[in-house]
Amino acid sequence: MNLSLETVLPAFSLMLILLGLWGVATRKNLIKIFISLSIAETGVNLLYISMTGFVHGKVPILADPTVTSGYVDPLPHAMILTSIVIGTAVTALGLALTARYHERTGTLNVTKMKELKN
Amino acid sequence: MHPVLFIAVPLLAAFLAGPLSQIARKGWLPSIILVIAAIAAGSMLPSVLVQPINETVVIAAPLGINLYAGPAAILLILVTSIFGILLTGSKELRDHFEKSTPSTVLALLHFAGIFGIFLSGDLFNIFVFLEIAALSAYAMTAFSDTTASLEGAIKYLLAGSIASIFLLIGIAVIYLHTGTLNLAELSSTMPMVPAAAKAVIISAILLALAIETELFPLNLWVPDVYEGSGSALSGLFSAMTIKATLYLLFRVITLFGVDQSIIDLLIGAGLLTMIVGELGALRQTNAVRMLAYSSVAQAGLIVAGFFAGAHSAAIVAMIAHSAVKAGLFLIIALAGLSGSVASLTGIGLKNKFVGVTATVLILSLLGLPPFIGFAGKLLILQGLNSSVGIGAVILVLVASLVEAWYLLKLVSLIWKTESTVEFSFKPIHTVILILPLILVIAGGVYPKAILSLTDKVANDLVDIQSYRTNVLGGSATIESTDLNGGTQ
Repeated sequence: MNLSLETVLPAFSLMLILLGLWGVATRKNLIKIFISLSIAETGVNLLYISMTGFVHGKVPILADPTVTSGYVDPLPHAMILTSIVIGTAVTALGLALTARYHERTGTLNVTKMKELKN
Repeated sequence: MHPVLFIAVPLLAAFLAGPLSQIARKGWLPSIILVIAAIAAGSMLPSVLVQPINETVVIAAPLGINLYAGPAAILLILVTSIFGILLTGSKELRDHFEKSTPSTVLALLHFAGIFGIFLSGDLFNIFVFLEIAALSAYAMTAFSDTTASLEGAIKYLLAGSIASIFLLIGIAVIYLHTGTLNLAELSSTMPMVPAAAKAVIISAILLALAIETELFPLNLWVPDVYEGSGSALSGLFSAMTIKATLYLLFRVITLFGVDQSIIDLLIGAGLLTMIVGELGALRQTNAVRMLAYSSVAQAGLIVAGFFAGAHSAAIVAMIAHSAVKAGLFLIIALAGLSGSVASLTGIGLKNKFVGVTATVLILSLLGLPPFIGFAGKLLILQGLNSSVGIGAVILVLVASLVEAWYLLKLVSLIWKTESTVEFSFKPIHTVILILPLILVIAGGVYPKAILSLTDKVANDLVDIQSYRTNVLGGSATIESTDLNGGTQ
């Protein structure tokens, strides 16, 4: 079996996504939940990178105007840049809210979130 | 008039919020931006109904940033702006805006995100605008800075982040198989995607949108977020935010042309959401939480109605729901109370106008004639009857009975004589309630006027061929199996 980076990367990214989602679902500590969320987001980012075919492609910068093929697809890279920025913002906001919540209640445990219940 | 201004103006106002707040004092800036958006949308609507505007920033479609201002987008921008003003102009929110510029910035970013969702013709931009709207909404939930609001914000953030992960996975698989993210192009290339990949795409995108549109069982976070954020913000989310995500669900699913089994699944999920929402509302003692459950139920009914083929009725129901929830949440915010149902006792006798408005809005929410809710519910029932069967109709009627139980109890409380709390409604604060009141009554008395408009709007949502022609120009005559036929 030929284990090249191109075949391993999608599987690896999927594993990271599942690991992250599992963490979000099972962890009780808010900070660990946000770490899991970041892991899942990293997995998604890798998924985008894995489909650009970067292993054999050239950097998509037009140095020589006569060469128009063989470049990797730049669009997923651009999208992932946006996604990374958004992910950072979400993590920052989440941790800020967590810090404030901890200040108020002295706990980071989600199972102790009892303010809003049916 | 360029559609991009709907996004650019709120964004620019957000960046200049500091100096602009000195001109638009007392926290009126977000309301002013919404008034401008409403006027712009209102003036564009007649021409857009005839010829939708397709704007491509940078290069030619499908490359570049594609904005599509069709009748559906512009009408919903108009409706959500008008009813958003009710809440942004309320004392509760203006106090936040006046106290801190960051909260003004957040509100303006939220509007930019919502208008972006309505106008975007490209999946990745939709993701970006959804995130802008969502991130600002998470932070807005924590406005009041109480433990409850922080808890609501954290839950909202977690639910929204999971949704965006699934949306990104869906977008990645779509791009891998089609090489495009333009919705119009996707409508013709999606049928050629292999079945297995399509299953991944549809399930990932549906999961994401089901969380965002508050469909059962992915809506457990909703009541907490509403209760935590308080009445005025709940009104804003009910009147604006859900409308944007519902539009997104309808637009994306129709353009993708999904199988009938997925349509059936969505109808089922919608009906189930409705039942669960109404049953949830029944046992609430907090008025905000009760109306939050009711919003969930209404979103379920609208989704079921739309996918059962009652497209126009679903749009009517969306407009009606915006008006009713904006009004009701504003009344709770004006009363300035803890939000418990019991504390609303006797507000009708203290202020007749508020009492009558609340009663009319509640009756419209119930779907009673002669109010606009009746037209929406009746047509949704017709659609469900013809495409699903009598069982679905009975289900909706049973849910309406449950709804009647708690809503009529609310009405009787409003007019009860022995009031325990002192209310002081300033006339200047209540006068804006005239907006939803007029719409609810006028739409109920002359449903034909509203329906002739929503028919065109619904047609814009379901007519894939003309969407393609409008966005891609005359060259878009790629033959494909028009899977939308199943929904009509």
